[in-house]
Amino acid sequence: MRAFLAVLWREMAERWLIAVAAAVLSLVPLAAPLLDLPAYRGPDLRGGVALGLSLIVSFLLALVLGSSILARDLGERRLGFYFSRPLPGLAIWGGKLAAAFLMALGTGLLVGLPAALLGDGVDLSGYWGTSFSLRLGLAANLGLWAAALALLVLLSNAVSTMIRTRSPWLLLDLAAATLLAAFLWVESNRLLAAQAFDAFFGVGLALLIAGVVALAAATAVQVVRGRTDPRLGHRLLSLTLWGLLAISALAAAGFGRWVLAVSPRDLTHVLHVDPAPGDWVALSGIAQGRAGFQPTFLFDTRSGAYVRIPAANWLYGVWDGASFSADGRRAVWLEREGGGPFPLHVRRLELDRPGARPAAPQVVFDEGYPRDLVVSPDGRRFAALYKGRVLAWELDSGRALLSIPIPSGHDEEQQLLRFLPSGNLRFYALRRASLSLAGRETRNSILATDIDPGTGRVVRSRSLPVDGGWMTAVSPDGNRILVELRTMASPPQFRIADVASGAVVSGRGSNGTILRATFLHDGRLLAWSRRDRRAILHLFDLQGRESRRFTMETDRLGVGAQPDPGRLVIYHAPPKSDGKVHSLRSGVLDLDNGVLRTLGVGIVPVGSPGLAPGSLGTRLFWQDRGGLVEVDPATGERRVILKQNDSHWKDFEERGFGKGSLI
Amino acid sequence: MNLVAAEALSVRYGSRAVLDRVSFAVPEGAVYVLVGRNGAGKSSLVRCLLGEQRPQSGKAFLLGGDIWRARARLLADVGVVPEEPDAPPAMTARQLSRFCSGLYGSWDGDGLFARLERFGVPAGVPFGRLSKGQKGQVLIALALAPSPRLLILDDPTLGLDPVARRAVFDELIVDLSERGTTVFLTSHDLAGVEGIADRIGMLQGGRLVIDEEMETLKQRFRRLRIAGKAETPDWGSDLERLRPVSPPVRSSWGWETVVSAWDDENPPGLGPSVEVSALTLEEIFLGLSEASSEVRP
Repeated sequence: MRAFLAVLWREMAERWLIAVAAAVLSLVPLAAPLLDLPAYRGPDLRGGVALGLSLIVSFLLALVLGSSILARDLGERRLGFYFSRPLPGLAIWGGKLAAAFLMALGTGLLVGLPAALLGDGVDLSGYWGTSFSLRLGLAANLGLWAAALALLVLLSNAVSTMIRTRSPWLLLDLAAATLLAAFLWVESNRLLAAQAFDAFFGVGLALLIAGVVALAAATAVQVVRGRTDPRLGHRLLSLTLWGLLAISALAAAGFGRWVLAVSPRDLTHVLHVDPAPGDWVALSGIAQGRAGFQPTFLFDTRSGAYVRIPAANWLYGVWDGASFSADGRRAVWLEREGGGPFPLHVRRLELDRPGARPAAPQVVFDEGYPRDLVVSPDGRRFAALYKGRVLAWELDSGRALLSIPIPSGHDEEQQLLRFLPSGNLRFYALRRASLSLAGRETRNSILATDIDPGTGRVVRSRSLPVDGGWMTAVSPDGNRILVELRTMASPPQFRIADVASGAVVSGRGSNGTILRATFLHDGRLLAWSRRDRRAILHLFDLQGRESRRFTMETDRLGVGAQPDPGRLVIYHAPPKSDGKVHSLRSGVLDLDNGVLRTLGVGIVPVGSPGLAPGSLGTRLFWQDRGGLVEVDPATGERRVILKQNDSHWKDFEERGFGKGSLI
Repeated sequence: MNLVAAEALSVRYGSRAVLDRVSFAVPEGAVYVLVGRNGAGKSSLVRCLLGEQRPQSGKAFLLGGDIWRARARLLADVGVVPEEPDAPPAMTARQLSRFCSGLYGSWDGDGLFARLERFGVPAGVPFGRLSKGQKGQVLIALALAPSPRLLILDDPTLGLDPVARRAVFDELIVDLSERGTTVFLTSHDLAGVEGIADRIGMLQGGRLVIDEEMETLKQRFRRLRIAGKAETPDWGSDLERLRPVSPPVRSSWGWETVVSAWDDENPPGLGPSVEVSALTLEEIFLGLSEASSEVRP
C-alpha cells in the first residue's frame, strides 16, 4: 500500500497545475449570470454551467490522463524508473491509473464546488423529463459518473498502449474488436428481435462490467508481467483483454440463447392466454431466472408442441401475440428482423401439420406497426390496416390482393378490420362529430365498408349515425358494433349499431347503471352492473331488449366463455366475512334458469364471451400459482396443461384479478 | 555469496538470439564489468537482471533471490543506474529524492545532495532540463543514496564528456572503497573501468566469451610483433599453443598478432625477433572484437 500511495501521490503532485486550472475554471460558472440570458434564472444558469464544465473537464482529463499516464511512459521507455525501484508492478499500475482517475474526478468536483456551495441546483426535469439518470438520485449519479470516468481511464490507457507500442498485435486488436463487435451485434439483435429487452439490458450491463474488469485485468497484467517491454506488454494486454472479453461475450451469448431457449414448461406463471379455435393457444408468461424474459408461444395444448414467437405486447389495446384463422388451422404474427423495431416480417404456421416450422410469406412492413392483422376464416388470406390503407395478401405466396385508401376524416384510433364468415373484409371507422363551414354540426358516424379481397372491389359501404362515444367491440359475425358513451358525469351508456339493418339501438338497462358490456358469440349483448354489494348480469337479445337478469351476492364478478350456447362460465368471490377475502371460484351459469353450478375454487376462466361455444378456449382456466388447466364444464374434471410453478405467487389477488375487468 | 548470478539466460527477439545461455556470477564485494559491442546483448542482460524482462529460458538472481519472482523485495537493496536517463522529466532531483526516500529502508538524503553538489548538478531544476551528463549524475546519486549492497550500472558514462566520466568513476571508487558495495557495470568506457574492475565479462553475439578476473585476463593476453618485411615470419614453435585470437596480420612495419594463453610462469618458445607486450583492456576488447572465433582461457 505504501508503494501504491507513493506512486499515486507522485503522479498527482507532478500535475499540481491541473488543480490550479480547475480552481480558476470553477469561477466561470459564477460569472455566467452576467450574461444577459433572461430565460434562465441565475442559480439555474450557474448550476447548469458548473455541471456542464465539470462533466466536460472530467471526461477530457480522464481521456488525456488515461491515455498518457502509463502508456506514454511505456512507449517512451521511462517505465524503467519505477521498475528499477522496489515497487511492485501492481502498485505502479494501480498508483498511476488511480491518480488519473482521482485527478479527473477531483477536477470535476472542484469545478462544480463554488456553484454547489452557493446552493445552485440544476433542475433538468424540464429538459430531460424523468429520465433514468434523474430518477437515480445524487449519490447514484455520482457513482455513475465515477464509473464512467474509471471506464474511460482504463479504456484510453489500453487503446493508447496498443497504439504507442507500434507492434503487429495492433492488427489483432483491430480484428478482435471487429469480430467481437460483430458477434455482440448479432447476439444482441437476437435478444432484441425476440423482444427480450430485460435480458438485453441485463446482459449488456453484465458485459459492461465484464469489460471494465477485463480492461483492468488486462492493463494490470500488461504492467505486472510485461513490465518495461512494450511489445510483450502489448501482447499480454491483447491476449488478456480479448481472452476475457471473448469468454464474457461467449458467456453472455450463451446466457442469451439460454434465455431464448425457454419452453412453455419453464413458465413459472402464465400471464396471458389467447386461445385459437383449435387446440392451440398463444400464451405468454414469466420464466423464472431468465432475466425477466416474458416469452410468448404458440402452444398445442394436446401434444405440448410449441413455437416461440416474439414476446407479445399490448398494442392499441390489443394483445399482438398472434392472429388465428377461424378454422384454427393457421396462425400469423410479426417478427422483427434485427435489433430495431422495423422492418417487421410476417410469419405463418400451419397449426394442423405436426412438426411444421414457421414460414415467411414475404410480406414486410418497413416502418410503423400494422393494425388489426386479421386472417380469413379459411386461413388463405390475411389483411391489415397500414399507413392509411386497407391491405390484404395471399398468406401462402405473400401476393398483394388489395390496397384501398381509408377515407380521410376518420378517427385513426377508431378503425377496425374483420374478416366476415363469407370471406369478405369489413372495415369499420368512426368519424367524429364536427362543425361544418356552413355552421351545421355533424353527428358521430360509423363507416362500415365490405371489400371482396379476391377482386379488391368494394361490395358495400354503409354509414351508421351514432350519438358519440367510441367502438368497443364487434360481434363475432361482424354485424353488430358496440358503441360506448362515457362521460365524467354519468355512468356509461351503450349503443348497438347493426350493420345489416342500419339500426342503432340503445343497450341501456332498466336501472341505467351498466358498467361494461360485451357480445356473446351469437351476437347477444352481455352487460353487467352493480348495486350495493350485488353484481348484476344483464342479457340483451338481438333486438337490444334486456331478456334476462342475474343477481349475485358478491364483491367481485367476472365472465368467461360459453361451454354451450345456453350456459356461461363466470368467476366470483363470496363477500368478505370477518375481513377475510375468499378465493376466487368459477362456476357455470345457466342462462335460461339462472342456476349457478360451481366448477372449482382457485381457478379463473381464460376465455371471453365471444369465443365459439364448446371450443378449447371455453374450457381453459388459470390456476392459482400460475398454472393452466382444462376443466370439463360438465364434471369439473381438470387436466393440467402447464403445472403451477410459482410458489411465491400466492393467489389471484396479487395478479390483479378482481380489480380490472371484474365488478 | 554471489550477489548477481545468471543461469543459462537466453533471450530471443523473433528468430534472433540476443542472449544465448549466458551464465556467470558476481561474488559479494566484487566489481564486475560487462563489455561488448553495441547489440551484443548487454542491455537485455541488464533488464533480465533487474527483473524488467523475462528471459525465454534460464534464471537471473540478485542477492540470492529469483529476480523475476521477487523483484520489488530484492530491489530494496539494489541501486540502479539505467543506460537512458528515465526519471520523470518534470521532477527535480529534490523531488526525486523525496519520492525515492519512501521506497527504501534507509536513505542518505544529505549524502545525495552533497554528491550532486560535488558533481555540480542543481537540485532544484527539473530532470528534463538537465544535460545528459547531469541526468546520469542525478541517477547515480539516487542509486547510491540508499546505501545498497549491490549497484547495477548500465553504461552510466554513455554520452558523458571525459571530465564527467572521470567524476563518475571517481565517485564510484570512493563509494566502493567506503562501503564495499558490489558493483555490476556495463560500459563502453574500457579505460575508465580498467582501474576499478575486479572481474570482467565480455558478450559477443549473445554469448559470454570472457568471464574471469581482470588480472588473469590481462596476464594471459599479449601482443606479439615481428618487425621487418619477411614473407614468412618466424613466430617460433609455440604460437599455436598461445592461442592467437586471429591469424597474424601484416602491416607496413611488420607482422602482429594477439595471443590469449600467455603464461608468465611458463614462457613459450618464440622466434628470436618476436617482441612481446602487454595489452590494455581496450586493446584486448578490440582484438577479440575483430576476431570471429570464440576464445576461452
